[in-house]
Amino acid sequence: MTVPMISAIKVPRMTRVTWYKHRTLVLGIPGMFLLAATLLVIDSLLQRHWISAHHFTNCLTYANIDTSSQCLTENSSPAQGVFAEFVNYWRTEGAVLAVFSLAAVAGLFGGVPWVAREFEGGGFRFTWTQSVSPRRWLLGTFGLLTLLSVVAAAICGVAAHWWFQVAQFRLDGGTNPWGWESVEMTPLSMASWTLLAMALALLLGVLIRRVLPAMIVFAVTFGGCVLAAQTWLPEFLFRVGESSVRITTNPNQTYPEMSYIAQTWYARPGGPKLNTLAVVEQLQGYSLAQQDRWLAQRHLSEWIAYQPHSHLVWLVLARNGILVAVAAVLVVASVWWLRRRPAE
Amino acid sequence: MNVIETVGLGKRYRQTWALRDCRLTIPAGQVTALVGPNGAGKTTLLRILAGLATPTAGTATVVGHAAGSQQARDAVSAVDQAVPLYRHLRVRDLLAAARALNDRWDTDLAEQRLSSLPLTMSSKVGKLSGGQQAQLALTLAMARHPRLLLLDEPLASLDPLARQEVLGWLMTCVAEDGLSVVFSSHVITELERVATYLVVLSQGQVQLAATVDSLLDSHLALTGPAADADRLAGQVPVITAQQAGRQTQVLARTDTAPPGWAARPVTMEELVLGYLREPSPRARPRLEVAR
Repeated sequence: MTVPMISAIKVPRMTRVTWYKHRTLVLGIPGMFLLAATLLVIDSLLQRHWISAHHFTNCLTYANIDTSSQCLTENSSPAQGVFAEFVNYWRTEGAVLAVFSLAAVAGLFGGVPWVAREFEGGGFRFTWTQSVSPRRWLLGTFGLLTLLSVVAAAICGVAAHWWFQVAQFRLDGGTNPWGWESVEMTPLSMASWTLLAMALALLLGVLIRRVLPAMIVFAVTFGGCVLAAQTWLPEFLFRVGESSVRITTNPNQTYPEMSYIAQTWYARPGGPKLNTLAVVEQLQGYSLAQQDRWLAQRHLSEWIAYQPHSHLVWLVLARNGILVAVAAVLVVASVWWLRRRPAE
Repeated sequence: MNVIETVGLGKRYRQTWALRDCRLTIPAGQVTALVGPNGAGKTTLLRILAGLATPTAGTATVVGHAAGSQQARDAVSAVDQAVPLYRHLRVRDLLAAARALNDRWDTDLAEQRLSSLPLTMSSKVGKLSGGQQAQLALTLAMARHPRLLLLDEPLASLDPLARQEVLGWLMTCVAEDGLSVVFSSHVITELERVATYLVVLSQGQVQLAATVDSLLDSHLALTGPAADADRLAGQVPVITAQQAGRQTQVLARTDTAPPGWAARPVTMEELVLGYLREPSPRARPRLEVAR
């Protein structure tokens, strides 16, 4: 019998083992993001070429306004008609949805199966009876797959952001920097969602330990996360640190352009907020001047709570920070559960 | 030095105790036969020792380290009855993965052993026969040069010739490396040839744990009149008694035959079956572990 060989470990061992065991996933998930990035770049190049060829560059420099009407003032009427053909809401919205759902696809078809199948097929018993602890096995495999997926998602996010700079004008009605499409088509958002998807897949794989049930629960849970992040979370976040201003006919007394309007209300000086709907009902049919007079007679003023556009980047950072924090909690929970119930 | 020590070891699955208050000590260098009926807790015990499951109660130590610790994992190899291998991998990739997973790895041993088997390195593990998979799993387990090898019915899928050959190979490794083996199997005749230590588990508790030689020396199969059976129980510890007509056959823990009783040495199979027929450890005085 030969003397045992002590191998010099240069590459982290779980990285090599993950490559041997999960080549398809290691190549497939990042490959999916990179393919999407390539398609987005090609589509963006074609769109930019079309815009340049038709001299529509001016149509793409405005935000939060109706694109078509802006083109109408900047260009001749027939040209505006040509630009209207460029607007394609469903194709753009569909592409945004497809890109956004890549994170879910990575978690559903990459994250869930690798961990759940190890338990379902019993392969984990092989690894755990080598010189590798369950925690190292879990984090080693998760780390490589997730790192590659997140980096590829970020690259895809760069392409998506570049693509959306033009594609957003194909959304009928112009652009809105506070819209979900603008917030999600960024490298940071893509990477954060992918990280969350992989972490959720990890936890569900460790908890459920069967591929199909874990995939179903993942789809439902991740859908819930997306829903919460698109509805409740922005409503909450976009009101943090908001400013308020009294709206008058004085043009100097207004809110900055491209702000997010969080709330509108009417109030008497030093008094409580009034029922906005009741006031608006009273104002119906009045001209603007009549409205002002009517409000002044009753010592009422109109107020707006808004979030200036300059806060957007911080709010998006905070939103993605929350996603990353949730992902970290899910990973810690997975390790804790695995330690509590290793192979039962 | 003891290769395995458990104190008050217990494992509960929901409301059922698979293993309860298990106190066990196995010296190093032994080939231990772990026997017991289905559901006795053999697999649970081996999984705890291999670090695949955590105990609900008590402690388990293997080769001087807590079961499941990194040091214990480095020193213990285990082959489960389900032969856990990555079936979607090729043999070549599985070998590479195993080599990467271990600091200590004997490539020569693995390659030499596999070259003697009727399989190719490019074969998918899942396409191999059950016997070939078992041989592959054993080879991977041995290439780590463990100090303790835990085998949970690994030879069930092998044909008699292959079983003989594998047992011979394992015994060579034991002799050369001073390897300790714990071998769980229902085929007692198979264990009889190789085991030097015997552990009988029943209903999640250790019934018996001692060297095979000391157990065979301290037990006798007695045959005598059925009418004297009750009197015999007062003279020697009776493990089991079976009446056949006017005669009674008794497995007793004694090295001398009482007057009026014919005695003969017991086989390991008779010993195991005798203790399994009387599964409650409280029904008789506890046997001291011979070392």
